[in-house]
Order: sequence, then structure tokens, then C-alpha cells
Amino acid sequence: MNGENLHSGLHKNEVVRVLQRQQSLRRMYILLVVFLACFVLVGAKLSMIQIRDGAKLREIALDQYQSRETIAPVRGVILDRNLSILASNLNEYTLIADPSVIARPDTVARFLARCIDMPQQTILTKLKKTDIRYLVLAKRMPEDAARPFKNWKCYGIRLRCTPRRHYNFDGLASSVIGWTNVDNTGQAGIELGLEKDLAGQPGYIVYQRNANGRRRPEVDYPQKDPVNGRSVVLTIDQSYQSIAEEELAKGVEKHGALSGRCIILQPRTGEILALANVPTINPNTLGDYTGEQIANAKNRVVTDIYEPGSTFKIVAMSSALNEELYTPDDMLNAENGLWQFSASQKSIKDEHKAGMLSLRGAFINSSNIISAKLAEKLGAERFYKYARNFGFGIRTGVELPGEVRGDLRKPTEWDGLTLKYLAFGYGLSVTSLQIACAYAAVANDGVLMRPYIRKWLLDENRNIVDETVPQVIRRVISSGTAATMRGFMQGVVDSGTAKMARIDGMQIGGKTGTTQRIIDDAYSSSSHVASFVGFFPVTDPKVLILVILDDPQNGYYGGVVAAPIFKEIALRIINSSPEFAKPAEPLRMASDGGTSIVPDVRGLHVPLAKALLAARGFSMDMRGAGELVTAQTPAALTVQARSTRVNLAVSVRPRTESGSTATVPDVTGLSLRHAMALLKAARLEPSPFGSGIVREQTPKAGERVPRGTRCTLSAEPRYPITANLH
Amino acid sequence: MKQRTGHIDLPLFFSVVALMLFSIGVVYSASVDISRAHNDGDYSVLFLNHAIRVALGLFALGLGMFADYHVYMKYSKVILLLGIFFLVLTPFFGTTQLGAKRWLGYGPLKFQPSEFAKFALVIHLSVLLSQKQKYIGSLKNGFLPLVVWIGAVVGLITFQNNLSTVVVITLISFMMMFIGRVRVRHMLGSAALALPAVLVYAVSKPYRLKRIMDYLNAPADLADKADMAKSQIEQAVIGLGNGGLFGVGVGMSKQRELFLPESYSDFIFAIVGEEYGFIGAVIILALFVVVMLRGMKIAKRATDDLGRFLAVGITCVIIVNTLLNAMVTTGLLPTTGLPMPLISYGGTSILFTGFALGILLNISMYTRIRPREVKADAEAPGPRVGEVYE
Repeated sequence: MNGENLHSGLHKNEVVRVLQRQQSLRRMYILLVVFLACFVLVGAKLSMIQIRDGAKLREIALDQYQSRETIAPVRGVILDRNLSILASNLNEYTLIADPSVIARPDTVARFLARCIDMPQQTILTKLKKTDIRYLVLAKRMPEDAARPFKNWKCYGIRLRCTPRRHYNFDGLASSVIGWTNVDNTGQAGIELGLEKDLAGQPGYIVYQRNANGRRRPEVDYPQKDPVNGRSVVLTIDQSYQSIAEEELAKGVEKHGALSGRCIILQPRTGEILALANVPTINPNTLGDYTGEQIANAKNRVVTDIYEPGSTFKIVAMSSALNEELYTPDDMLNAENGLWQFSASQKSIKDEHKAGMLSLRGAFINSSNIISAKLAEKLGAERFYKYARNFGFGIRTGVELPGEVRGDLRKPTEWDGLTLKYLAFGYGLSVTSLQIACAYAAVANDGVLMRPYIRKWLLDENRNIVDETVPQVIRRVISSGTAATMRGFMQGVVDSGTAKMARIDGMQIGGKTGTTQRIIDDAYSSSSHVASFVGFFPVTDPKVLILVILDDPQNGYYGGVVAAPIFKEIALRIINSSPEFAKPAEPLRMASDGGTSIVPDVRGLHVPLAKALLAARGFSMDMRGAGELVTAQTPAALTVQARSTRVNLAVSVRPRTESGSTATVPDVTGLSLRHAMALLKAARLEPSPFGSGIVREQTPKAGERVPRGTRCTLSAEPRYPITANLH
Repeated sequence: MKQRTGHIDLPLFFSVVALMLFSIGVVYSASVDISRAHNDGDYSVLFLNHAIRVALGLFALGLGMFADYHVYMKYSKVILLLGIFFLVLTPFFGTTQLGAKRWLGYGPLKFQPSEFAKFALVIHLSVLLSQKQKYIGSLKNGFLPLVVWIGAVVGLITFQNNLSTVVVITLISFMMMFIGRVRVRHMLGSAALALPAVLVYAVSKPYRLKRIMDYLNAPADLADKADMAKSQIEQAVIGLGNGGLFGVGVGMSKQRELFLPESYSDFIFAIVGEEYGFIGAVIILALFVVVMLRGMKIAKRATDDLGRFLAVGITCVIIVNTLLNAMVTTGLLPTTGLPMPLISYGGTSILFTGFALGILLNISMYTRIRPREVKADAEAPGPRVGEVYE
């Protein structure tokens, strides 16, 4: 075209071709650049995906390949002190179908119809909806109903197991034991307070999963076995608990009271034998209650406070005696029932009007005026110190959730009247348990014990892993003062305000309390709290019972309302427990002939051994001299003719050195106490582990060892814990 | 002018062989589970098939390498007519696989006519372009005859519902025409005319529309997508992400475990990225870049127009397929079923790609005389190319 401009040395056609090629090559470069740009784009996107988002995508990937399933630990059970199971576990099953994968719905439906409560046709209709992947066929199936499906391998049908708490005695001790929610987590009571121990630690298993949703466990994937929960043995005695609940409920109903509380304590140790609350609920049917009913069923013994009233008079009285300000028989002016202070219009009244009263008489008749005078005499600081020492205004430290402290103000915050009113239990608040513990201190020779409810923790193999030992908090009053106070309290029951608590043949000590309830910030004259706290036998108190009724309608005095309930409970306890049983008459034998079982008398004092053997019709021969039986032939618990003479080896307590070696007696199968007595008798040093029955001993029986050798005894609970802990 | 030097392009040769050998390993680990699932636990079925095909591919490469490429000048039309004939036969005698009738033949002789037609078209277009260089600017004699051939192939493949191959062939054809100096105006005009038809085609099947919508609506964050039914493309991205920088290790891919049903063919790049990490994926891409650069170099140094157009066409076939596959896998493009050349499992693709690369190597054996001198000529003052022909 523009021929003139062509390069001179080349032929025209050739030049055209060169130029054509140049154009073609230029277009190639454009294409090359586009390609390279695309490669760079892909590289950039790759780096974004693989490097920037790598970690996040990796997580999603893991989520797809692996499914991590937690394995729930088995929750520990809750037992009473005699190892009767109070709270156990049940498995509940949900039957789930995945209609989209069920191959032969008609066959499956026919089988299902035989096992679940649903017509075959209905099941079939449901199973044919193949667009549904999750279909619940049956809910809350018990173990029995689920059994047919356990071994039935049908792809698309599966069982899901949910553990559920079961309370073996329904509402018994429900306010103590508490309950769990649907996730089996403790919500109240011991279930909540000891959740950590009961729950255990969940384990997990990691499954490899593919796109079909099928799973298989991987050997090299992490897996952790669950640690099952610990079981809790409570100090609660199931029979005491049911007695307390029944009698309290009766009393609450009889008096039309709003609510009632009862505590039974072992004063020597602080063990809580029973804790009753009315109203209560049955945690097995938690769904049937309203939220308010559930809230009201809390353990008011530790969560609710009240003004103690006259029961608080032990503080003024025992501290006045302890400080030796007065003797029990010192007479004080009771002002004829009305003490008008000169300074103000305020006055203190007594129900029982008297001129002069001894301290003893003042306590028996529950004189407010004398209490106030005693407190005045003590002075604020000392009174406050004693009140604190009795445990008021301080949490007792019991293992129950929601415990409150009560309210005992410091003397610096008191006004002129506070001390006088405090003396007879107004102007402060306490929990029921604090009152029970304060009286238990008096019953326990003046030593305040920490109340406890968790006796043992057991692992899944039923070994005791932790034992709560009785714990002394402090000495509050001298043993002598405590004895005097117990005498006063016996007087209260015998001739004072609590005559209705009297039981023939049993020395009972106690104190009544009647308080006006505060309603709308003012003391109500029609609404009261009636209480009675008592213990028996007075000389060696074994049981302490506190009964409190809120707002009783027919009568309101503690002595009229609460004391009879105390009496009913005490009577049933005395009649039912061997501890209070009268010594049995020696059994009379039907005839001279026949056989009997040789009793185990090892470790017993000679007279007792003699009595026991005689009761079974055996006579005895003794070898050696001393007070304790160390061995017997024929062996204990064997059946022998009645005429058999039982040979007893007798020894003395280690008093003097005589000889340097001792033979280790066989103590296995004996109670720990018994075994320790025997070892001591053999001048060996017992070293016990556990409690209950001796299972093993070292050194072995029959070995001759130096005197004073330490003998290790390992003991287990008397009743083997055979209960199914799962 | 034509002088056979006897030297083949060694970087190209070694890159291709490396990619092919690499593919044996990747296909093995990508196909183990699927193979086991479909062949009674025998995990090596797909792998052995693939190894045989790689061997055949290498054989085809040798075949292409030693056949003088000028031979196609004579037979390209016949070859393409044969390809079109196969395409016509497919709807009637084809085998259905994965819901599409795309295979012809039986047993070991089964192949994809569309693959064959693709390469036949590339060869014939090269021949036509080289013949029409003098009047390529002409619509009637230059452009339209090309469009007729392209239209025939594309139209027939459209009948097979093979959208991705249609796109690939169209793209490659346009690139070749571009390099072959067809007027841009003509190409843009024909594209504008074809656009409405393409749109109708794209929305004519619900699954195509869905794929496009999936692509457009893809959530920014995969974790937001709660349901397990993630699309293949999301699974591919997850696989890549799982690989991270260094990969999870050879044979350790988890994503292939049936999350990516076509992990051994269309989504093999995801497995590469998962097992060998970012580094492995970039090495594969780099090998393809080498193939591209060498291919272009060969085109530039080709002794004649046919050699240049053939070299460009073959390079385009491989690179376009590679890029589209990689872009789909990384979520840059909507899902289409395209294998990655040389890497993916698939007999037809490996065989024809091998043969085509053989042709490319054959072209590399012919070198222009005194290329420097010609280059110097080109840089001499003179009219610009545009001015000469406009």
C-alpha cells in the first residue's frame, strides 16, 4: 500500500509478511499478559485461601471430618448414713428415625408397631416422608421399652440415651438432696452444693466422618474416658428423716401453719441426722409444680432467717453463769412481769408474772425481764462475744448451698435498748441451723461443733475417698456451765414452758421460743413463729431436735405448738432405734437341748461376755486373769450344742510391763472399735484406716511381735456397698 | 526457510513429563476412597487406569513429536470433519455418564468426541489462518469461513449440554483468531450477535442458573453457612484451606473422602492444594507457566505461520483449560466440569493433550534462520503494522 516507505533491501512480499508476523507477535504478547495476570490472580486467591484463611478453613474442615462426641460421666448417687440410696440414675431413651435412609419402611413399621405405642399405619405414614431426616418416634422410654431396639441394627433407626435422676423415696429429704435440671446438673440442695463431686468429668471420643454422615472411631484420634461422679453418703438417717417429715407435716397441718422446719442433730459430732421442710415437693415430678412452689421448697433451715425469741436466752443465761456473775440459785427481781425503764416509756413484759426468781426459775419460765437484766450485767461486749462464740452471725459452714449468716450487729451499732431486747431474742436474725448448733454446744459439754451432712465421698469402686470428721469450732462455755444449763433445760420440759414435750422414762432438756413475726416492718400480734429445741437423754445427749412452725393458727406458743411435734418425733426415734432400747431380758431357752450360735465376745469385758454367753445357754471357762476377753474357743458364730463350755482367754489392760512380746490376735471380721480394744488388750498399738469392719490386718494374726508394735487395721463399712452406683 | 535443527525444547519437555508423573501420584491419592467404594475395596482400579493412560499419553506425545507438523496442512480438514462426524454420532450412539451423553466408543476405545473436535479445530484453524493471512481482514473470505467451522463444532457440543467445553472452544477460537490477525471488529461484532443466544442458553437449564446464582451469592464467610450441604466449590476451598502453606502430606487428604465427589478429575487441584499445600499448588502452576512461556516462545520462533498458529493454539488449549480449572477450584469462577490438563484423571484428555504437546515439541525442532537479523529488520524505521493494513 504505502510502497514508497518500504525498506529498500527487502522484497515487498517479504516485508508484508514480516509486518504481519510483527502484528501477530504483538497480539501474542497481549494474550501472554492476560494469561500471566490470570495466573497471578489464581496465585493470589490461593494465598488468601491457604495462608490467610487457612486456620479458619481448617477448623471447618475438621468439623466436617471429625465429630467429637462427649461421653457423659455417670453422676454419683446420694445415700443416707445406712447406705440406703436416696438419689439414683435412670436411663431414658428417645427413639429416632431418619426416614430418608430407611430402606424398607413397611418392614420397619411392622416391627416398630409391636414395640411402641403407635399403630403400624401411622408409623408407616411417618416413615414414608423421606424428606425428613429426624423424626422422634417415642420419647422418655424406660429401659425395658428400649431393650428391643438395642440389638436391632436397622440403618436409620437409633436410640438416644439420656440419663435422668431418680429419687428413690420421691419427696423424702428433697429440700436437702435437691434436684437436677434436664441436663442432669444440680439445681438445689446437695445436688447443687456437691455438684463438682457428683458430676464427675465428661470424656469424649472423636469420630472420623465422611460425607455420607457415617462415622467410625479413629484409633489415633484423641479419646478420653469420662471420670464418673463421686457418690455422697449423707449423715442423714432415712428413718429419722421420714419420722421428722411425717410429724412435721402433721403438726403444720394441725396448726394450719404456713411452713415448718425441723432439724435433728447428733450433738456430739455435729452430724445432721434429718432436715425437714414443709412444704416440700417431689423432685421426680418437678414438672408438675409451679415456679413458686419450687422456690418455696428450698431448704429454709439454712436459707431463711427469723428472730429466735426465747430460744436465744441461752446466750444471756449461760454466759452469766459461765462468767460466774451469779449462781443458779441467786434470786433476781422479776418486777412482777412488767419492767418499765425509768428513762423511757419502753417496757419489757413477762407472760409468767413473778416477784423474785432464781436464775433457774427465770430460765424455766422464760423470763424476758431477767434475761435482759443478765445481759445488762454482762455488758454489751461480753454479751456480743458469747453470742458470736455460740455461732450467731456466722455461717455454720454446712455443705448446703444458699446458707445465710443471719444478722447480729456489732455493739457499736446498738442503741440503748438493743442489748435488753437481744437478751430475749429480738433485734437479730438467725438461721434455724444456728439455733440447733448453739443448743448442740450446750448438749456437747459446751463445745460448738461444725454441723455437717456429707459423711463420705465414695469413688465408683465404692472406696471411701473422703471422710468428713467431726470438727470442733470452739469451746463456748465450760463443761460445768453446760451441765447446769442442761439441768435448767430439763426443768423447762419437766415443769416449765415445755411440759408438752415430756416423755416418761426419758430425761429431756429443751427450750421454747415464741416470736412475733415482722409483717410490713412491724411486729404482728397475730402472726408468730413457734419453736422448740430439745435433746435427750439430758445426761448424755444423743439426739437434738429443733422444730419451728411459721404462723401457726391454733395456738402460737412454742411450748404448745412446737413441743408436741418434738415429742412425737422423739417418741418414734426412741422406740425405733436400738440406741435407746432398754436392755433386753436374757432370752429364755425353750429347752435345755438343741444348739445355738456362739456369740463373738472377743474384746468384751468379762461380765458382759458372760451375760451374752449365758443368754445363748453357754457356760464358760476362763484362762488367765484380767478384764478383757482376748480369744475364745469354739470360734465365734459357729453353731454349738448348748451344753458346750466356751473357753475364754482373758487378759488385762496394758498396765505394767510383763514380757516383751505379744501374739497378734485375729481381729478380721470384727468391728473396728472391737478390734482396737483387742489389740490394746494385747498391748499392741492399733492404727486404724477407714471404718466399719476390719478386713485386713498387718502384722498377721498369730505372729509374735514386740509389745507396742503398730498394727495396721483396714476397715470397710459394715454393710458392703453393693448398691448399683450406676 | 524450513530447517529442522533436531533440538526439541527441553524445558517444555521436562515440565510436561513432570506434570504427567505428578498426576499419577495425585490421582492415586485422590481416587483411593472412591475407587474402594465402587470396586469392592480394590483401591487401585482408578489409579492403574490412570497410569496406563499416562503411558499412552507419553506415547502420543512421542507420536506427535516425530510427525512433521506440515502434514496437518493436508489432512486438517479431514480430521476436523471426522471430529464433527463423531460429534454428530454422539447423541445417537454415545454412552451416558454422570448424566451427560459425551462418550463414544466402547470399553478401552471409549473417548470424548468433544475433546477430539477441540484439537481438530485448533489444527484446522491454524491451517486456515495461515492460508488466509493475505486476506484475513476480509469478512467474507477471511473471517466467515472460520466462523462456520467454529460454529459447527460449538453448535454440536452445545447439543451435548457441555457448557464448559463450549466456553473453552469459543475462547480458544477467539484467541487463535486474535493471534491470526482477524479483525477485532469482526470478532467483537460476532460476539455481540452471539450474546443473546448465550444468555438464553445459560438460563435454559435450572442447574446452570443455579450454579451462576450460587457463585454470585456465595457467602463471604464459609463458616456462616451452617448447613452441611456445602457446594463442591466450597468443599474445594475448604480442602485448599486445610492444606495451608505446606499441605497435610502426601495421601493425607481428608477432603477427598467423598466430600469432593470428583476429586480425581475436575477438583484435583483442590487435592493438590490440600496435600501439598500452597507451595505444591504454586509449583504446579509454575510448571504450567513454564509450558505457556515455552509454547509462546516456540510460536515466536516458529519458521512459518502454520507453526506459529499451531503453537499458540496448543498453548492456549492447555493454559485456558488449566486456568479455568484453577479458577473454578479457587472459587474465582462458577462451577463447571473441566479437567486440569495433564493432572486430572481422564483418558481422552491425557491422550490428546499429549499428542498436542508432541506437535508443539515438533514445532520447536524447526527454528527460524537468523532470528536476530529479522528482529533488527522489524525494529527498523518503517510503517506501523496498523497503518500498513488499515
